[in-house]
Amino acid sequence: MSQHDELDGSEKTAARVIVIMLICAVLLALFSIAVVALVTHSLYAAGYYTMSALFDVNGENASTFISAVLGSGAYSGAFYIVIMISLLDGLAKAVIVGFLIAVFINLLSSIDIKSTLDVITAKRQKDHVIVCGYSMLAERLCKDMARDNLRFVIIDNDPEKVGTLRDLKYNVIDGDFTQKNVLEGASLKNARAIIFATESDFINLLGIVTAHHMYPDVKIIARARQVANVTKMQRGGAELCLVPEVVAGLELGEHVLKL
Amino acid sequence: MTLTGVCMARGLSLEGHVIVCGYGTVGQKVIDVLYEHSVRFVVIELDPKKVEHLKELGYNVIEGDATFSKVLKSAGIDNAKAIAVVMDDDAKNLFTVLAAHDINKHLFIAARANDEFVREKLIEAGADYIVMPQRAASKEIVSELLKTKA
Repeated sequence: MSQHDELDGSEKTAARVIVIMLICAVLLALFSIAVVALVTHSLYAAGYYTMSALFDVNGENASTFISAVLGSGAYSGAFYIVIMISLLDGLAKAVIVGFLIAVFINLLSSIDIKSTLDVITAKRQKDHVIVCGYSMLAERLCKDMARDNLRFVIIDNDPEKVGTLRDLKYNVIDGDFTQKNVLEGASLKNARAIIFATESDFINLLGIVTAHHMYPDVKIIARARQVANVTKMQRGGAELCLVPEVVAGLELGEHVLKL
Repeated sequence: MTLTGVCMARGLSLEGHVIVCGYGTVGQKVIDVLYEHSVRFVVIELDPKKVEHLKELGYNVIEGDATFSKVLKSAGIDNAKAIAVVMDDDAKNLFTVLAAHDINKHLFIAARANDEFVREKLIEAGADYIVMPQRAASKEIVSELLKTKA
């Protein structure tokens, strides 16, 4: 809670600083125009000079411009005014550049590039497998699918897991797979299969019904914790529904029989 | 004939049988397979309700903690062919494997592991065969996916 407040506080301070910098920059630029206008007796020239000096248009800057103006003999004893204007413009430029950098950084930090890329990649996928919920089963499954060159995308709404998966270079969608738009985003229409692998039978069932209702032809595979829920999942549209413990028990039993 | 834990302790032991430790989902399936193929087995279970249920089914059952050597001995571990250590708790499975291996070095030990790192420890402790529910399920799913691909 306090950490959240601190973050909010620092963001507000940063926003205030940016606004103050912007106001200062505009005031300094206006002041610069006024001073140059006084020297050159031309508002147009003053505006042009200030803007071109601020943004270095065509290599213009304070000294070259002042030299040009003063060289024409419009003003004598120019030394002090050149220094003053140069300082003023340097200051205005520093403030504006600082402001632009701040805005740019703020913009960059507000865009989650990885997440955006993942969403674009997921939408373009075809013949892929969608894994809903990054559980222990999903972890094993992803390793096995990667080994067998099966392309897959994972949907999970736990930010911590999503971060870990991105570190592992997996294609991840941060979202709730019981929502139709999230499944559309994972290109369910073109998927080879969708696997519901969470630890909750209820959430898996919700996902099964949603996916089956959207695209009944897509193969649905689900994990169940309770044997009693297998029938419900199959009725909901799951083609293959398994309880890992049952599979393990049968495997072990068969192995013991061979002894 | 139904042999209860008391009977076993009194010396009515089996030979060449399989001991199943834990009557959870994995244990139930192991028992189903063994029962179907008429393999003799003894179940060790801690929960009295499950023990009662198993007795009603007519299975050989011992109420107790499988991590204790005494309990394993009462299940006839000295004469057993194999032991399936399939409790939910990885740590308990590890203890049981250690205890079983200490008592009978020739026993075939099959164990269940939930976590990948426990798998290695179980093998070091003396397990001959490890089953991992997530891995087993994943194998099934991937083979189903590859079938779809073809």
